[in-house]
Amino acid sequence: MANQHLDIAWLLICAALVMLMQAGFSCLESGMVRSKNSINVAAKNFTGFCLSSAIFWLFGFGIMYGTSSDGLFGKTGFMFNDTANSWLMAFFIFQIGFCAAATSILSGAVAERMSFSGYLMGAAVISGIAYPVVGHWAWAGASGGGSGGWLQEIGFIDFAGGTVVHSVGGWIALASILIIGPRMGRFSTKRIAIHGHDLPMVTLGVFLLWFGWFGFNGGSTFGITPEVPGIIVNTSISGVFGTMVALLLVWRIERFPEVTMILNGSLAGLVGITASAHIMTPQSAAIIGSIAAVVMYATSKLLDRFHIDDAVGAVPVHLGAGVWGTLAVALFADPSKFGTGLGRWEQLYVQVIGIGSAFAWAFGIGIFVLSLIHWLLPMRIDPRGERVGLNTAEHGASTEILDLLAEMDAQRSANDYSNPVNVEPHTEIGQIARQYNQVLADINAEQERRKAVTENLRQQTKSLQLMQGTASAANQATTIEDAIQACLESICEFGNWQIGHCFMVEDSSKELVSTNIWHLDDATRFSAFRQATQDMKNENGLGLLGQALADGKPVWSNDIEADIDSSRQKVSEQIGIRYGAAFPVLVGEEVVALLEFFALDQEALGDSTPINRSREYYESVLGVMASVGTQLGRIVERERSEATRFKTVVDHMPAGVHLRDLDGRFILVNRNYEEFHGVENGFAKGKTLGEVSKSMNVEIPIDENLVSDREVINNNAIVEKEHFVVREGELRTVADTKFPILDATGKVTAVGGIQLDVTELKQAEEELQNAYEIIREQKERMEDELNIGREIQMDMIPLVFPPFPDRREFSIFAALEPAREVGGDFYDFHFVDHDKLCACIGDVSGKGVPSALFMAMTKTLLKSRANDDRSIASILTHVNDELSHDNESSMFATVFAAILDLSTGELTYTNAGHNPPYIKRKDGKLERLDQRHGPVVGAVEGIVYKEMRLTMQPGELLFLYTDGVTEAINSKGKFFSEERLSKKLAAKNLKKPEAYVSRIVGAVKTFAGEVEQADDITLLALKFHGTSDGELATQYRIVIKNQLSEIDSANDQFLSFARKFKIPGEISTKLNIVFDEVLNNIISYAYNDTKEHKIEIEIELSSYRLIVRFIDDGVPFNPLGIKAPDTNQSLEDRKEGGIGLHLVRSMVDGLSYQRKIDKNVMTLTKKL
Amino acid sequence: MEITSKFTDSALIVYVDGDLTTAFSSEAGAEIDRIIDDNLQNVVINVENVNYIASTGLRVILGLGKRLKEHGSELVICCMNSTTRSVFDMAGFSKIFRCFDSEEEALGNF
Repeated sequence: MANQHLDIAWLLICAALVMLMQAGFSCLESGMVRSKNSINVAAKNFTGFCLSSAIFWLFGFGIMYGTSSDGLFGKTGFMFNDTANSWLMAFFIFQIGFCAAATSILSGAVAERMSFSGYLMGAAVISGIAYPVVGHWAWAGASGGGSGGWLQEIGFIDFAGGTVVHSVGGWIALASILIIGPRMGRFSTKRIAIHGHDLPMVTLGVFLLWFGWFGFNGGSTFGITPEVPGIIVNTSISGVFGTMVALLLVWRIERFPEVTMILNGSLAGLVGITASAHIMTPQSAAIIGSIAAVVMYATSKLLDRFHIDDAVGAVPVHLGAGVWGTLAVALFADPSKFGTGLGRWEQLYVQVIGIGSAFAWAFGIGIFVLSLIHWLLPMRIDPRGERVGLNTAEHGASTEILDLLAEMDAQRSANDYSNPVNVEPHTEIGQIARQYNQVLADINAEQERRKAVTENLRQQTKSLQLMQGTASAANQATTIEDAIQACLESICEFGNWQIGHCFMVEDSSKELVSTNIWHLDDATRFSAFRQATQDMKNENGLGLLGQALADGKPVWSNDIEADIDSSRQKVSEQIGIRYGAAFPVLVGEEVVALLEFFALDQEALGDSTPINRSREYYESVLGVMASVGTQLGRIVERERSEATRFKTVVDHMPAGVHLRDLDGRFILVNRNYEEFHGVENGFAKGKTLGEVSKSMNVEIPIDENLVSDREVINNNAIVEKEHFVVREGELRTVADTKFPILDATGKVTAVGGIQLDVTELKQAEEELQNAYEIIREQKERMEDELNIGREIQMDMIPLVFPPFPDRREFSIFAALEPAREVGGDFYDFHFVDHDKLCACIGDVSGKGVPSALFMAMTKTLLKSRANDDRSIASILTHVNDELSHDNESSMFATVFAAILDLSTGELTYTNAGHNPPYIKRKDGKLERLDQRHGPVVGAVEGIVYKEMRLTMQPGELLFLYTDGVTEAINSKGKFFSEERLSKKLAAKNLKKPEAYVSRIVGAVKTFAGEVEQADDITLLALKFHGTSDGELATQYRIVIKNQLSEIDSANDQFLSFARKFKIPGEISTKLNIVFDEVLNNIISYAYNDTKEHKIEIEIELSSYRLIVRFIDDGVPFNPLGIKAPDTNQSLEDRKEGGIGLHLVRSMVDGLSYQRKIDKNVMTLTKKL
Repeated sequence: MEITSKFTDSALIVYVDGDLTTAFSSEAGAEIDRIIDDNLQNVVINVENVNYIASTGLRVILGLGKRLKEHGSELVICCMNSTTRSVFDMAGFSKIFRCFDSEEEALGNF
């Protein structure tokens, strides 16, 4: 019993030590977070401790140590009050510390973003459900009463809570951080490590924890036993080795001894040994601590990898090392010391079960309950709160540094640094604030100094600017008025004058004349003053003005009442004018204008800003004014000389120039105007047109003039009119152009006019117009004629190609490019009988309608004669007689005409004075048919034309043309020439007649370029392909009997024929197949008797195709009626029939069938 | 006209020498049937020495192809010249029989 008191004492000491761990947790966690969250973490630790203690007392202890319900949870001992049992009371207070420790693990992990209330709910889940239940399973028997929990029963060893306290706390922490997510920015694209603000504090926390751990592990014997020293040694050794290994790891991997990792290493060591401190040797403890650090480090990297944010590393330390320590019990302890009767591997199995069940319960409960809570009431602080820190957001707490920063921030955002920040005395932050204020004061003083210097500088530069401004205004202003106005404005602004005005000095009288050049700060207020100024008369000698005019120097007055001219005295008093100044504008010594300025009394102005108007001020200002006056004087001088030059120019203009103001009074007229109207020099100025007209010796339409003046003024537009005047008894036409003269604002200020006497010009124009009219009429007549001629011409010639699409023996193409004026060209072609094609080309002399008609006649005669006459010479002879008879017009035509026999290729031709055509032979050589067979047709009656013959081979070409081709002229005056033509014709790549024609037309056009076509261009190309039915074809005949064996014989005969005539191998092979198919068909199906029949095969070969006819006397059979097989069918569906005919059809170019009397004739065509 | 043959591991190769025309097609068909007998394995017809095939020849090939297909074997053609190839294309036979440029290729494709 004596021992029991000692045990109680030891247990109470340990309870105190364990409670000290709360202080450790507080220091550790609040130091590990940023300062803006430190208070929150500390508050969570403290409140969490109290809350969990309360819950533990209310029912946690009962669940954990009460009478067990099947080893799952306790059900007695709620609101624990067993005061009689002093050991149990000590045990209870010791256990409270354990519960609180498990709870505090959570607060670190979720730091910096979990709300305070959220944390308290989490703490309640741990202390009320998660921890007591697992505790019951493992430790229920420890209180001395009743049976143990189920884990304890199966032999689970967890000495001081490696699983029960640390893992459970760790599982809940993991569940929480998974639910609430990482801190803002922790895993954003740029991975930011968030550093703790007070690492010495963290170190102190670890020291405190370590110290407390002596009670945590040392007290878990629940008495002072001989094992206790060893337990404390093991605890320390493990912590030490954990630290060292973590140090080595982090130094090696991260390249510097990162403090939090080292401290967490020591905690990992301490956690690692917790489950087994009572049965380990110090050597094993060293190993367990070392490995615990490694596990901690690895877990920590793993969390980072999965973007799981644990603010202080609670999960790696407590969960990682806790799980490891629990396994290590079985791995490192001497099995004899297990006290469970299990072997090492059985023990390991049990430890795994313990770890697994703690995971299932704590993590399961954690995820479930906390998710539910989070769903109902989000446990995460809002982003704004997270940004400003939980200290402020959650607790309204603040720190001096934050206050200072807020104050500085306010200054920055308001951009107002005039007031110093608040200084908290006797603090470091106060020192900083004082320094900041010092710097502010210095900066503000410097700012003031600079402002003063700048102000001074501004004053100085202002007068300089004024002078420069005057100079530039003088240069830029278009008029003297503009220049003065600009100066007036600048001076008023510069000298704070409310009124500025300019007087001009009249040239002759030297009197002051008020102008419209004013500066008035307030036009309404000063209107009376302005009126008074304008009404002034003869005030030259009075007041400031008089003085300035007399002295030619600037003057000033600070008591204007005394110094102003009498006519304005009263009004200036009324409006409160007190100050005045004036300066002259000088050209040499002469004053040409006066500028005066007035300023109100400060009172009258209602402005308290003091304005310097001291003597010194005026002296400096007057210097500037004098300079400005001189500047303006120069402008006036320049203006005057410009005006003189201008007047000279205007006077010499060869037109009447005048300028009238808006009232219609002449401002200016030039000499020409005066002379034309007979007005004396200078008489018109200042008078209206009506007044002046009385002195004119010209009658002018005054009203018309006034109307157009109005038009110019009202529409701001140029008006051009012509009117008639009577001058010296003669009616003259005057072209009058009137235009608005605008001021700078775009307002019409005057009307300018220019007048020209256009009488002679008008007459000339009219004559020109009449002449043009005549030309135009003639031209139209000509055009009509041209069109008629062209219509006749184009109607006469065939324009559709190909003209005989069904004739394959030849191809023909022709073109006629008419010149603008018809040249009388023609061409024609027509069949004179089935085989004979007549083609001709001609060119009628002369142009226009007559030649078109003659051409039509020639062409018609040729055609009609050709129908009855087969000799081309005879045709021409006849046509010539017809045309020459009674040919009064003496027109004639050159003609080339030919007849081509398509069955033989024989060409008969006659050339009646036409350009020699060409024959392009098969070998590409050009033959010029240069014989003439008689003169042109239509010229001389009774001529007998001759004719000639030649033979065209298939592929040869006849080319006819008119002299429009060879005599086309280019810009250098050169002819296209026969030489060029023959070169073009010889080109090798030409095949079709179209190609020849279009190539040559193109060449001629390119050659001529911009030069207008002078004569019709006519071309005709005729290509002979060879005959279809004529003698030229090679024929061959094969006859076989109706036996299948005969097919080979037919094929052999055909092959030798094919070889002889050089039919390409691929074609003859195809025809072999065709023979095979067709003959097989005939022999197999054409006969319904057994008699012998003959099958004839006719072969006809020409240059471009082969025709084969199969003739049999079998039953009527049309092969074209057979349907082609479906060649897309699959193997299974394909039928055998129909393939043969399909092959035949595919291999030839044409297939036809005829039943001729009693015979089947099948004709195949194959192109070569 | 001559038909020879060769057995290989994967197929029977039939060499046709001469044109498959009306005169010879049925003879060639009978000869091939005799060679194949009941041995309905894959068959390669080598037509290297055939100038052209007429529809009667096509019918022989079609018949044989159908028969082999029923027994799960395949008929392929190799070494065609351009004429036989074009006949095959026209008749749509190149869609139902695989054709190869060489005997090795044909054998390699079973």
